[in-house]
Amino acid sequence: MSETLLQLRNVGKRFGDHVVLKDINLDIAKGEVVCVIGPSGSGKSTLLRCINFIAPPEEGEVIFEGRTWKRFHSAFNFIANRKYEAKLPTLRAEIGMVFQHFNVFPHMTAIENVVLGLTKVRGNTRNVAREIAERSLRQVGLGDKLDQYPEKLSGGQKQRVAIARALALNPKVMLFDEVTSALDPELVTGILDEMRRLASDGMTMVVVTHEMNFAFQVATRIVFMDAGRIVTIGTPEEIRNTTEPRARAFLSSILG
Amino acid sequence: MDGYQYNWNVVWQSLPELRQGLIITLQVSIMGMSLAIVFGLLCAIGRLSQYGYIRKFSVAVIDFSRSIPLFVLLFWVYYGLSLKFSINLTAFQAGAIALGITGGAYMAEVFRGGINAVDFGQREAALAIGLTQSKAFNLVVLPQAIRIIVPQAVNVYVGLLKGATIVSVIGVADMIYVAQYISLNSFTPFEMYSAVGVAFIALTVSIAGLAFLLEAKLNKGRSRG
Repeated sequence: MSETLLQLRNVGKRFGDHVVLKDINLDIAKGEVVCVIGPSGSGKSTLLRCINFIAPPEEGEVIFEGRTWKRFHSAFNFIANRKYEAKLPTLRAEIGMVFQHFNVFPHMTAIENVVLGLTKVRGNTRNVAREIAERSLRQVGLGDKLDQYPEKLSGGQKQRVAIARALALNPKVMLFDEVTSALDPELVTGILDEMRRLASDGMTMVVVTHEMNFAFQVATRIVFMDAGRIVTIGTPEEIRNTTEPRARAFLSSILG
Repeated sequence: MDGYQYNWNVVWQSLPELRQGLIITLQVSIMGMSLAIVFGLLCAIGRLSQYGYIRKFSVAVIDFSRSIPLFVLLFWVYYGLSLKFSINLTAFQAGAIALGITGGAYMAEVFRGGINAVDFGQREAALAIGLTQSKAFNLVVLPQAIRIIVPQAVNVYVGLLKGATIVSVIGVADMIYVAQYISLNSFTPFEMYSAVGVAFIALTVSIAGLAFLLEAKLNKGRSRG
């Protein structure tokens, strides 16, 4: 196994009294594709949001490229909160994320969606940013849609814009949150192919998915979650032959 | 109206004075609206704050400002500040501030509604690419919220414009003041106030027209109007 890129240490998250994640420990090596599976409401999406602190975990820590990230929040100390919040973008800029509902910016054209991060986060000039954005959109097959507003694009095309927007920033790891769940069936394959291409290019990926075929074909390891905990982790082969009863029940209900 | 002799000539003769009053009305309402936008945005951001006590304070300020009749507020700002704190404002300044406070309470709710109407995923996606909180708000959330805010802000402004007719009570020489003053001498209140009414209708319709053009401009990239 090559060097570790990302570690989750005893990560826990709750909303009020409701515990969403508990004792999450996970090490991800550079170039790995980790697929996270499990029943709905098992905390898979929250786990992804903890990694880039979109939903900061209350407990535990995330270690990314050797740097430790912990949640900080004071009820009164505004300045300390500001200081902490000002650091988070440096973590998030290295982590690409693609969402179930695309979340493309509707008031911007496809290329403006991609340019935004390049200019405002990476500090590129507009011309350089447009060049990178164009290349990035071409790679996902949207070379002829650069100046279209998202409204005029299909779900699959919107999701491609979202992927290009994340990739253009040259992230070290990509998080995919059920990115095909909101797509029409005929568009799913295209997006999955895009992700296969990324994986074979050596991108480190954490993929929350209900696409079992994809998970078993592409993943280096599969994480099975239930009720906010990681129940079992293993290679696709190990998970297929797992004896853990909950994982067994879940897989047999899905794979038949 | 038995026996009442209409004298519309008075209206035509006093057009220059009415025009002057109209300009004052517009000025005081635009000043008031500008203050309302600043005050309202501050209150709205306070209401959406992550700190509970700031949220509660903002709610209290909004409820308070919204509950006071503009008429009373005018007296407080104009005479009250002068008597209690020796802050002497001109009638125009007091009128603009009173309008700003009343309008601000409504604008706060308009801003909050607009910001809340933007899908939460938009903010998440903006943060996920590494934008700071303020850039995510300014570049992604606010431009989308503005489409919802503009039409409602126009309503608030039309309300303020009509509210601005009250500032005559503290002696701002607005249209109502002019109409009142002239009809005292010519005994033609019906004609003068009707003229003011027609001017307001014309103003409101023009503002609605401008708002329509502005909305069309903001709605680029979105065909639902």
